[in-house]
Amino acid sequence: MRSSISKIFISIVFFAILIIPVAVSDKVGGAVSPFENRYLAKFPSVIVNKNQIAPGLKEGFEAWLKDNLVGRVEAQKAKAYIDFKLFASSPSPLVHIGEGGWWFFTNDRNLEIGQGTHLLSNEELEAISENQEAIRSSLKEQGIDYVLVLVPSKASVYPEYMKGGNYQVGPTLIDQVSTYLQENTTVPVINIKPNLIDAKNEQDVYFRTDTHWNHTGAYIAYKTIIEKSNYFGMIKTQPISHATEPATHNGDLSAMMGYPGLLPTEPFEATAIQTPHAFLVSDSEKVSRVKRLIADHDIVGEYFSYSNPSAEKSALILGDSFFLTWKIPDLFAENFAEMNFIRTDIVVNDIIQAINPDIVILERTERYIYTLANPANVRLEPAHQEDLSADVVSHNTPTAVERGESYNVNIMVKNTGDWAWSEDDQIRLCIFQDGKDFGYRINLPEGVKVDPGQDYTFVLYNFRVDDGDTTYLEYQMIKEGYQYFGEKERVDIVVK
Amino acid sequence: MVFSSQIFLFVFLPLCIFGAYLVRPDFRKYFLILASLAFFAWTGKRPLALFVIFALVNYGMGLLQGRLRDNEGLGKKIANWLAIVSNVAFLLAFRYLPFFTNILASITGAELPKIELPVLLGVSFFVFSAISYQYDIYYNKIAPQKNIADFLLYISFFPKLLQGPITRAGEFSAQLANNKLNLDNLSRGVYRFTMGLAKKVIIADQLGAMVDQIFANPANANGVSIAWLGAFGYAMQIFFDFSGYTDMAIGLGQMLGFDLPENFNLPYLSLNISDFWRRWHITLSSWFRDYVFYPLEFKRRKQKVFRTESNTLIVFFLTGFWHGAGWQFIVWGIWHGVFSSLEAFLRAKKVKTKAPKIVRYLVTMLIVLVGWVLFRSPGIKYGLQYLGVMFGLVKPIETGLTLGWHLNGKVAFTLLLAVLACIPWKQWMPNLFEKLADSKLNDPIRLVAFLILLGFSIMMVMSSTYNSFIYFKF
Repeated sequence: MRSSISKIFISIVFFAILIIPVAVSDKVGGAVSPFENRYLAKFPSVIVNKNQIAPGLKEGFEAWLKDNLVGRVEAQKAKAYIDFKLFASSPSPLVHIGEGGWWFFTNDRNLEIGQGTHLLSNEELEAISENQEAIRSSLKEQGIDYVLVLVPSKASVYPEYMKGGNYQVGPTLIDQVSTYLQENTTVPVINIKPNLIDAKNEQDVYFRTDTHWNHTGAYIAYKTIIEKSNYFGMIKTQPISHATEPATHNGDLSAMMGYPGLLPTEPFEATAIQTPHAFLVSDSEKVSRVKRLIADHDIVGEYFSYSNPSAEKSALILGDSFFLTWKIPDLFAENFAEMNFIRTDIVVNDIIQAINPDIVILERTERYIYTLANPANVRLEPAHQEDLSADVVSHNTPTAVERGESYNVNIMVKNTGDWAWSEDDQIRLCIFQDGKDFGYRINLPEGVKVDPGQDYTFVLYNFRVDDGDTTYLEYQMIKEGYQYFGEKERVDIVVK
Repeated sequence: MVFSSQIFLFVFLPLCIFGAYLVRPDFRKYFLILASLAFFAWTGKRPLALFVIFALVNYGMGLLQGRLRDNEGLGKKIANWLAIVSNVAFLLAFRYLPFFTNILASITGAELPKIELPVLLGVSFFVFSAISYQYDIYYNKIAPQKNIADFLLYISFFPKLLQGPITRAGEFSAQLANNKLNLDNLSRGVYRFTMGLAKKVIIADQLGAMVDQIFANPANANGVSIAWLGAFGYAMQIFFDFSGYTDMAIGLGQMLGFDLPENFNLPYLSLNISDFWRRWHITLSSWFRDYVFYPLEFKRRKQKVFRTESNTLIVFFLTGFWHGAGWQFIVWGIWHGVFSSLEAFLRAKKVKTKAPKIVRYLVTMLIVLVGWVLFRSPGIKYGLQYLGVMFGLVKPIETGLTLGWHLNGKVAFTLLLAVLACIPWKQWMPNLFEKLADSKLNDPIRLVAFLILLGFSIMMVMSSTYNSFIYFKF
C-alpha cells in the first residue's frame, strides 16, 4: 500500500471487524438460539466466594465468546449458502449430498452403515444379547411382554442415492444384530427394514431432506409392529386404517448445514386418523409419578401418556426420534387402553413398575444400535423391596388464610408399613399444591427414624398464598425417586 | 491460543495491539512481556510457571557464560555445556519423555511408572531460541543480555512463541532497540496477518477436513486415486497451514514493530531436496545448519570420506525427531536426509544431472510427497501401507468409495486455489507486476483483495462456532 489513506483504511477495517462483534455482543449470554436449537453460553462468573477466581473461567469465557459473537449466525448462513450454491458441496460434515435430491445424515458412521461396512464385533453382539435377554426375562417374571424394534438408517434403505460409490441395498448393521438376536436369544425382534425396502418402490418412505422416515414409512413401521406383536401372541388388536392428506415438511438436514432455508420444503402425505379414540393424559397422579421417576433417573427425553377407553391392554414404548413423532404415538395410542412413550434408551424397572404395562416395546434406530450393548442402559433391579405404607393421622391446616400471610402447619403421619423411615432412605413428606407436585418436601431430621407403628409430626413452615381465591394442599409420603405411598390427605383452602 | 481462534482474534489481538500503541514507549516492552506471558498462560498455570523458570534459568546461564567469556579455561566450556545440556534435557523431558519411556518399556518389558508432565506448547521453538542464544554467547557472536526484560521478551515474544519463526537473539535485540510503531508497520502487519489467516482458514483448514477423513481410514481402505488425493491434499494443507501461521506471526510482529524472519520461499518450486530445505521452514534449516551441521563439519574436519554426507544425515535425523516424538517423524527426516546426502555426494563429485528441469522438479516433488505421507501417518506401518496403495504395491480393500466421495466441488476449488497460490506470479510475470505496482490501480486492487480475504476468513472463523444440537444422541 502506498497511500496513507489506504493504510489507514485497512487498519481501521481490520480492527473494526475484530472489535465490533465483541463490543456489541450479548454480555450476559444464555439466550436461546433457535437456529441451533440450544442455549447459548452465559458470561461466566469471574469471582466466587468473594475473592476467588471462578474455576473454569477461561473455558467459560471462551464458550461465551464463541456463542455470542455478533454476526456468527450470518457468517454461518453465508458460508452454508456459498458451499451449497457455489460448490454444490455440503456446508457441514454432518450432511452428505446424495443423488437425485437425497440427503443423508453422516454422524455415527451412518454412511458406513448404509454401505454395509460398519458392523459390530462378536463381543458387542454378545453384550447386546445379554442385555436383551436380561430385559426380556425380568419383564416376563413381572408378566410383561417385551419386543425389540429395530429401525433402519435412511442410508440402509436408500444406499443407491449415496454419492461416491455404487451402493445397493444389502445386509447392514440392523440385519446383523436382528439375525444374531433371533439365532442366539429368545427375544422377539422386529426388523422394520425389509418392509420399508418392499414399500420404497411404490413411494418414498423417508424424507429426502430429513434424517427420518416420512409418515408413510412410519405407518409401515407401526403396521409391522402391530402385526408382528399379534403374531407373537402378545396382543390381539389390528392396525388402524388411516387417511392421508397433502402436507409439507422442512427437513432437519437443512438446519444441520447451518441454514434452515437451504433445502426446499418437501411435500409428503401426512397420516390422518379420522376418528381418534385416544387422548393425551397430561395431568394425573400416575403421569406425575412417572415424570418424577424419569427425572430421578436423569432421563431428559420427552414423555407422554395416552388413554383410550375403547381399547385393551397397555403399552410402554421406549424409543428415539423415529418414534417421537411422525404420528407414531397417535397410531399406537389407538391400539392400547393406555400408551406411554418415553424418549430414552434406558430400560428402568421402577418406571416400568410405575406404569405397569402389558407390553414394553424398545425401539432403537440403526445408528444407535450399539447403545443396546451398554449395561448402564438396563436398570432392572427393583428399587425397593420394603413395604411402605402411611396414614395421615392429623393436621392443623387452616381452611381459610389471609393472602400473603404465613402459617405453620403440623402434619402427623403414622408409619403403617413394615419398613422404618429415615432420611437415609430419602423417605419424606410430599406437599402437593393444586394437584401438582412442585417438589416441595419436608424431610425427616438427620438421625430420626420412624419405626413401623410410630407417628411423626412434620412441620410445614411459612405456608402462604399470594395469588388466587382458592387453593388446595395434599399430603402424601414419598420415597424419593421411586414412589409416593400411603394415604393422600387433601385440604381445600379459601384465600381471603 | 492459536492465531485463528476466536479468543485470539476478537479479544487478545485487538487488546494487545491497542495496548502496545497506547502505553508509553518506554513501558512497551513490559507490556509486551505481560501480553506474551498472558498468551502462554492460556495453556495453563503450570506451563506458565515452568516457562518462566525456563526463561529465568536461561537468563542466569547467559550471564554466567558472559562472566566466563574471557576465561580460556574449563569454566567457560562447562558453563556452555551446562547451558546447552540443560536446554536439551528440558526439551527431551517435556516433549519426548513418553516416547523414550515407551521404547524402554518395550525393550525391557518392564512396566515403567507413568510420569505425566504438563504439555508445553511451542517447547521445541523456545528451547531452540534459548540454545542459539547460549551458543552465540559462547562463540562471542552476541553479548549476554543483561536486561532481564529484554531477554524475557526475546524468549516469550508471543507472535513467534508457539510456532516460530525461530529468531536469533542478536537480530531480535537490535530490533527491540529500534522498535517503532507507526502506520506503515501497522498496515503492513495487518495485510500480512490477513494473508496468513486466509491461507490457514480458507485453504488449509478446508483441505484438512478432507485429508483427515482419508487418513482416518485404514491405509488399505483408500483406493489408489483417493490415496494420491490424500497425499496431495496434505502437502497443500501443511504448507498453507504452516506458512499461513508464519505469515500471521510476521504480520503480528510488524504490527508491533518487529520484522521476524521469513520461513518459506516457494518450497513447492524446488528442483532438488537441498533446494527444498532452503525454501521450507527456513529458520529451522538455518538453525540446524548453524548449530549442528557446521559444528559437526568442523569437529570431523579430518574425516575425508562421507563426512558431509553423514553430517547431513545426522542433521536430518535430528530434524525429523524435532518435528515429533514418533518413529514416523524420524523416518521422514531420514528420508529427506538420504536424498540430501546423495545430492551432497554428487555435488562433491561434481556430477551434474542432465535431466530436464521438469523431470528434476517432478522427482523432487515425488520425494517430498512420499515424505509427507510418512509424516502424516499415525505410524510407520500405516505410512508404508498407504504408500504401497499409492504405488500399486498394496491392493486396497473394496469399500465402494470412489474419488468423488472426497473430491467434491469445494475441495476441488480449494485445491485449485492452493495450486494457484503456489505459483510465483511475480517472478513469472515481472513486467505486469511492475506496471501494476506503478499504476494507480495498485492500491485499489490490493484493498479489494484484502477486503475479500478478510471477509471470507472472518466468515470461516465465525461459522466454526456454529454448533447445531438438533441431534445429540437422538
